[in-house]
Amino acid sequence: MIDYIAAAVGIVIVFIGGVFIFGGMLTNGVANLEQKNSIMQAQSLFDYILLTPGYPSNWGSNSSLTAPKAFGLANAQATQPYTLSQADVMRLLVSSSQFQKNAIQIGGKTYLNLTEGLFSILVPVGKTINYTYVKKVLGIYGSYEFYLSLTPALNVSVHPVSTSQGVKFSVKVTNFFGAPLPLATLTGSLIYLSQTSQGGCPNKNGANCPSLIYYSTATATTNLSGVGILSFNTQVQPQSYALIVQASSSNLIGYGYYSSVTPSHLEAYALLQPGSDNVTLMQHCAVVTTASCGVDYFNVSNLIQNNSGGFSIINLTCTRYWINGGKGVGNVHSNSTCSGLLYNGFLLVSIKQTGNGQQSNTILEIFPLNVAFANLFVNFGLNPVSTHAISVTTLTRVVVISGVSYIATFAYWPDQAQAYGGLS
Amino acid sequence: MPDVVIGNVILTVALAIALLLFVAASSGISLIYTVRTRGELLQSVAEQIAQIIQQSYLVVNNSEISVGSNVTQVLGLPVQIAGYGYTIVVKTSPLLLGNTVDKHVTVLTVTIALTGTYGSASSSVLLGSNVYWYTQTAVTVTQGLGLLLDKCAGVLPNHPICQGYDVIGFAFLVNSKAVS
Repeated sequence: MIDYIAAAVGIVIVFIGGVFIFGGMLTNGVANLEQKNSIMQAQSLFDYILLTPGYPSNWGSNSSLTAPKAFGLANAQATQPYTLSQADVMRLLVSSSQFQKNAIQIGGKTYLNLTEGLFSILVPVGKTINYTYVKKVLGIYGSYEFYLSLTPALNVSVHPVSTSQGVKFSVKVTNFFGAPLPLATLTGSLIYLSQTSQGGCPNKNGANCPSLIYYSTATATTNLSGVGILSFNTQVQPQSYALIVQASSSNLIGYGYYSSVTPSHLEAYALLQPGSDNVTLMQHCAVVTTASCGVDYFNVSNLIQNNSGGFSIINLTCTRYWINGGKGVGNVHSNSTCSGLLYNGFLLVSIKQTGNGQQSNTILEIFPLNVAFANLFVNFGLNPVSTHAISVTTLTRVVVISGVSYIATFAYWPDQAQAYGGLS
Repeated sequence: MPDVVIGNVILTVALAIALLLFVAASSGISLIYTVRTRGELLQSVAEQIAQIIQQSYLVVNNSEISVGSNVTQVLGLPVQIAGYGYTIVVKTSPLLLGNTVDKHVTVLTVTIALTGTYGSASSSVLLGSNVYWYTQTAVTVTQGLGLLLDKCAGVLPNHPICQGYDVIGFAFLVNSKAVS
């Protein structure tokens, strides 16, 4: 009897189990459709952000505007789609959490120090874009969260190679996933200082004129390991040269750099004002602890890409050609403002210390005037990993910022639940 | 012998109960599945239409497309969803920021509804402020249903689509004629 009852219970359990399995299969089918629809919504929003300039269309360069009426990153003047405005990206950059902690006080004002690798740029605080506000103008406040990141499409690393004559650099090019890129075209521009003045000193300081700035170019192609060698028959002095490398592969363009002066040894900081044609060089001895303060004379040039793919050097006009932080006593702050064709290349500063009983050789400082050249990782929004978000839709696009290729990644998820997945 | 009979009775009853349970449950699940699948299919088509409209807007809004240009395209939508015909209604509205209206962002909402049975879905996309949607009525989806985009300059007061506004005018095309 017990055998029959057990068999009967078994039959019922098997049938009920079958119903559950059947139901589960159907539920999974519906979930797949839901996921597909979620991807389409994310695509729509991602394209809106990347293909519209927002309102006003120059909101990124309008430094007094922190709440644009519409949020978009496209360059309004660009004819090619997926070309982003570097000024808009700059605003996202200063809103990034990794730079918010780098606030420093100089001359009673607060600045953000955007330091990445060999570059260090100062930008004023208060130009951030609020994530919650952006969700409101995107119409997803209270329903969805998102995370947007911009990463250079090519990683170009540069190392000097010791040589008895001239100067050589080993350049390695890898793609977004870290794989080496063979047959990438490398164009290197060596920026260097030379005492052989071929004209009047731009800074009008006569005897205190620092060395002048020159540049020469070389080209190479990467081998199967993604490595190429750039050679220059130019004699350079320590701390007086820098290399800018443009790497091109499969329509992707990336930049790599080498500077003989590291950010911790700068004698002057460069302050960028979004939307401004000015750049300010400043010294603050209470902050710059690793560089000796003093009377510093300088020449400032703008390195601008020309139509033939090379560069042109244009001397900038400054309010004065020296800064004097004194001997670092009493929190001394000194600055000079220079103007010219900015936001389209690099700022080159030839600077030497003299006076106050201090002397130094002239050093070359290089600052990107366009964040696209700085290889900075830009992120904006909530990171789905830290929020443990579920069913995250992640999309990527190749975008161009001032001629440099970046990978834009967009994660999008409902904000009402805790879940898993997304970016790592 | 009686044990065998009783056993057969128990097993028969159990089998009958299990069958009934299975039929009832699978029927219920199938119904839920059908409704949800239909809803998701409708949602999918609504998302598709909204995306086509948004992509078309983003292309025509580019500065490379000169003012005065018009673009037509066949939408290529399925004429039936789950065996039923359906209609499309498109509405535009400014974005609401709490209690205030943001006129610089247009929310375009596509709503599709099955004809002859229950089922509807809607999808919204964001566009710029320079959008005018000409077709105000519900349009039944047919094989050749198309979309017309007119990039107007605002200097043509009698323009059938843009009506004198400096906008990108949209209209559904049925038999190559714009539907009002």
